[in-house]
Amino acid sequence: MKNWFRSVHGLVPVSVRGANPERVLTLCAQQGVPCIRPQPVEDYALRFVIYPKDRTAVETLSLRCGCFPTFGEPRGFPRMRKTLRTRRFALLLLALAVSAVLLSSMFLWEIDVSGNETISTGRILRALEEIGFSEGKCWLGMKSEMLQSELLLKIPELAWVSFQIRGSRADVIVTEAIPAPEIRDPEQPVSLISNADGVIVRMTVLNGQPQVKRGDYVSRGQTLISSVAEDLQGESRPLHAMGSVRARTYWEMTAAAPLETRKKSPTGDRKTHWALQIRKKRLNFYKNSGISNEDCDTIYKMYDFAIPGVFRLPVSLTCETRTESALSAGMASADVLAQTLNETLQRRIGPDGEVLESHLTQSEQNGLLTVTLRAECEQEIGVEVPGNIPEIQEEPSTNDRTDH
Amino acid sequence: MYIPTDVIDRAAKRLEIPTLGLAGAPRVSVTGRGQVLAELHKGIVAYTDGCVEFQVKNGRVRVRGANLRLEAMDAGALLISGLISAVEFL
Repeated sequence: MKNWFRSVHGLVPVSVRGANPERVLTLCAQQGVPCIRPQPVEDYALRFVIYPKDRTAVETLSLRCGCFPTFGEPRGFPRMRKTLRTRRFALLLLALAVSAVLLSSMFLWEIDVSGNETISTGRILRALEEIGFSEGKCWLGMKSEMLQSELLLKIPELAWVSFQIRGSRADVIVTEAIPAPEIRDPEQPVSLISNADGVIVRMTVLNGQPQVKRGDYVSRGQTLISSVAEDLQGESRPLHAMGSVRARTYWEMTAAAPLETRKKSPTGDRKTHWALQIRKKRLNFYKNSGISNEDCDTIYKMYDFAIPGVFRLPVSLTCETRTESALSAGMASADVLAQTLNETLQRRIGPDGEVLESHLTQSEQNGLLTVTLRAECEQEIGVEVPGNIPEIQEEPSTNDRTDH
Repeated sequence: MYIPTDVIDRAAKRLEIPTLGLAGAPRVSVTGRGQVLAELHKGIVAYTDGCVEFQVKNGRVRVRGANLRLEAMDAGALLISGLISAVEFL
């Protein structure tokens, strides 16, 4: 702190040489002239630092003691001010830069949405734009309570939203509402139906009348657990069938692709172009920017004028790198088709399904590569279907006789 | 009226009052081995890295050590810092 204070006033280094330079220190102390950090340099020399206003007094006192003072270049703020006085343009630029930073920090240039899982960020940003919270807007007059209530009205799937504004960056943190569980009517009849062909390996009945048993072969759409049950009086009553039925299923899937394909391979030629982006306006530093080249792969890199987490200006430098590529002939890959088939199979049998055994075959015919997957799986096949009450058929009476 | 210093000292002893402040004698305070505060000095006589000597009322005081530096100095007091090894009254 003391050093900062001294720098503001400015300091002048002094070197005093003579037969008795210590006397200079004594006389300065008696006259009230502060000598800062005195230290011996040689046998007959001392060095210390004084304030610029004491220069004349130190010179006089040194000569009185028979010593010769040598003054160095002044240091501190007065010297800096003198230097900057001749550099007015630099000062002006610095002032403009500081003003630009301060002014830009009052506007929103970056909005980051986090916490959303099922609701897309684009939908939230569109809703924010509708309520007046978007890039380029001045955030000084905005109230977070108003924004919160308006956004929750726009997107009812949100439970909570928070706005944190730091400089020109806004963090919007959302929490999605937990959807209400589906209310099941216990009186509504629901049956368990098979959604695939297979042989039942395990069956657990929680509610309802089982129509099949372990080891039975069932086909797709067949009732596994009925929603009709007979009570002790012999009357049928509807109920909600519940249970788990696992069966061994057999799958056969085929995928085909042309034998000859065309793929893109880079030629090695690369061009770099630069552009300046000011908000939505783009200034290209190259010609023929409107001509698009379909045979090129373009990679964009953007360099923002920003200090992460502090402020950001609505100006960025864009580097566009175009890599030329050419189409070349290639062969279809059986591995890619096999991977696609395996992924499809996994989707069909569900997350709790298990592939017990699988076998892949491939063939080439008529310019097509065909890959066939045959698999034996174990999966849950029961699906709840509401209102499936089977018709009750009346048995023919044994007393009826028709005489011809 | 001039009163000799030894008379003042004897009177102060008899009256059991501190003699140092009355006689104008220098006061040298040593804090640990790193600092020496000298009050009522009459100026610096010698100043090197290993020795600082200053004038007092009835002689001189020499502070010996290593890396000795004058931290502060005014008309009445001076502060010496460094590795103090001895304080001698000459």
